[in-house]
Amino acid sequence: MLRRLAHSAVRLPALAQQRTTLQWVAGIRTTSARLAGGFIHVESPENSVHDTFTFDAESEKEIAFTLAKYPDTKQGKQSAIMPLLWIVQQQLDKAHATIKYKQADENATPFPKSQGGGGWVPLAAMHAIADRLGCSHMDVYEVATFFTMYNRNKLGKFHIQLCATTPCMVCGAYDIMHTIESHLGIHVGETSKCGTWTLTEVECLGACVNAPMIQINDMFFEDLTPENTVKLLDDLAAGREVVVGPQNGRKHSLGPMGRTSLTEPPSGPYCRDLSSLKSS
Amino acid sequence: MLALNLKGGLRAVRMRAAAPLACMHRRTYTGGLTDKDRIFTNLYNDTSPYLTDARKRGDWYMTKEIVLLGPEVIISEIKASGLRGRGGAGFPSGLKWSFMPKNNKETPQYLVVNADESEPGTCKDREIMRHDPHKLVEGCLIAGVAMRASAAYIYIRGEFVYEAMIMERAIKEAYDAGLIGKNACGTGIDFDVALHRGGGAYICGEETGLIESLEGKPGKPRLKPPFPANAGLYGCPTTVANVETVSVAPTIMRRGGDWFAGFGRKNNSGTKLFCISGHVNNPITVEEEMSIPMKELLEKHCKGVIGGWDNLLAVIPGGSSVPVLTKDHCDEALMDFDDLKSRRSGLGTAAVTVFNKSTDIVAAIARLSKFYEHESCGQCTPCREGTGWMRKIMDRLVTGDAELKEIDMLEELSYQIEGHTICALGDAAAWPVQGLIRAFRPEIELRIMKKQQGKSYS
Repeated sequence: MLRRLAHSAVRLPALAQQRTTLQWVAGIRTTSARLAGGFIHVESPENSVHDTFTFDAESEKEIAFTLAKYPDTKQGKQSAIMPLLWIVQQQLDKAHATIKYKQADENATPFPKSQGGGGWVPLAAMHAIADRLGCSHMDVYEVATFFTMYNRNKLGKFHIQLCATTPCMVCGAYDIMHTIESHLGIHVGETSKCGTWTLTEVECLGACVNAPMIQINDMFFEDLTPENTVKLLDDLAAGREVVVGPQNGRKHSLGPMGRTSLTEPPSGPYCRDLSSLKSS
Repeated sequence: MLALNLKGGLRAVRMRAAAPLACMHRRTYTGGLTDKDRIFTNLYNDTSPYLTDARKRGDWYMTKEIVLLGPEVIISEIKASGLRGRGGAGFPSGLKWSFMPKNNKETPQYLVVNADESEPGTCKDREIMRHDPHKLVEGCLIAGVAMRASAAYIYIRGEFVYEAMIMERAIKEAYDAGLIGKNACGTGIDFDVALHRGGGAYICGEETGLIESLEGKPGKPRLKPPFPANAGLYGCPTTVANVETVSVAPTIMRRGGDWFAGFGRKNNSGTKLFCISGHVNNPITVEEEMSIPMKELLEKHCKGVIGGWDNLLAVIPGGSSVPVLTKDHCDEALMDFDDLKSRRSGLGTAAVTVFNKSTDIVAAIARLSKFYEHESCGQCTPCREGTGWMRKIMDRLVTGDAELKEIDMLEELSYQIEGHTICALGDAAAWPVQGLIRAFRPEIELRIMKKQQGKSYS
């Protein structure tokens, strides 16, 4: 009996270990981006635990602006983990400055600088964030692995995120996916050998009226067809100017057959007499 | 069911009796909403979204006077308007705002705006944030004052890069103009607004998940109670409200609760942004009156279903979480909370996804199961494991590679997930599957039988 117990005691850790590995695999499947690196840090020359990360002057400005948003307490500082992860991605986004783009709408706002879509977060940066905010490394790891938009591995110069959830799917998102796959010679979840492209299938990006659509780094490209997708990719690769937003000349979420409301100019400011409310 | 019918009948009689008294409110849908009664007048960015043009459109007009009316008057006005939360659940907003403590001197109170619009099919808040951001900023001030909050956080989804940029600039403009911040609008009230970018997790659209994420933790929903109105962000009283709910508040205050209550059927008042995607000729985001018949919405604004109305297969009327409606329901459905609920679906976020007969409806719903599997936060076992099982069974139902009894098994499984999780994601994952089985069971059975026949002959 004793021997049997001892035997099981020896086997237990092995079992536990096996279970943990399984949980990890299950976790990667269900919660977080598979491509972004799972939950395990893999040591490599460009993402090493021994590296140090320093925020540049631009980032420091952003950090000061960010920290002012939250209460000046330990808890408040922890809130800044997400924005600081974004700031790291902004700093490491080298692709944004190279993209030539045009916005069809004259009232649109240009992108003054990268907002982080093309960057990534090395382990050293996570440690720098933890040290800056006075929280544990684990606090930062937890956030960086939970959210799919923090890229924990370096991706291609252009990160194509293809929305394939039902509203896009019924409008032909998988045709767009096959077009991109065959045109670039990569599959979903892969980075091209030249390091220019990474393709990911993501869940709803919130532009369903303009389906199907993709997001490349910071920018949305909507109303795609296989033809204009190929043109878009070729233009990006060649450094030619691309149009952000709808690719078929639509104006934002206005239907392709034109507007059905808001034909009159907006009426000016109006407010009823509030004095009756005051007395009550 | 019988009791329900009886009750409904009684209510109908009472309503009819009360109708002459309530004649100042239009309590049925009559149609013909005109531009002057639309709230979001810059939906298509015809003018600039920023302060100068926003002021010309009527934003920030008499805001000081409205704020100085005080919390009670604002809340009673919102209650009178009959505004129900626009984020999906449809809870009466005035009531929700009144849950915040009234004599709390010790801790700050927060308004958190849920701009984590991730429900598949939904893209209405995006239009508000990128084209009418000042409506939201002004709404934050008015709603914040109503719930005695000292600051508002807008939690915007990470993918909305452009929208976040515009919001950030609009907030800065409002600060610079003295509209928010210290002595906001000259009212003597200090009110801060800050933007927080998410990281791409659907679960952060759930209010407690959103608060967790805002505190710098993974967005895993909390058990309720305590409800956020008692202990929310940083343990302080917090109310989470949808972008559209907050954005319509200033206009309701300026034009009056009666005006807003004059649209739509009783208990479903107001105007609403509808975003219609899928198989329609003219997919569009448009502001319409509540209780508009679905057919009219699709014919008037979307120029019909591709291939004609008879080519319609099904409609998801309110974002991916609500069950799918078949065509015979669509013929008569009204786009409001109560009518769609009576059809065992829901208005949700009013994101209409239209499927015509070219759609593989089983595959479409299976893709939603994949979505929920991906977005489950992994906290509760029924949801973490169940969404995966559902996706696997659904994938096999698409090809027909299953047994007939598995349809019942899938339904049973969905009922085991529903109601057994901390947050509503489990329910949201179960409903589309239940809706599919309810509406398209013969279609699924046919696939399985065809496949099995093929097997036995080969």
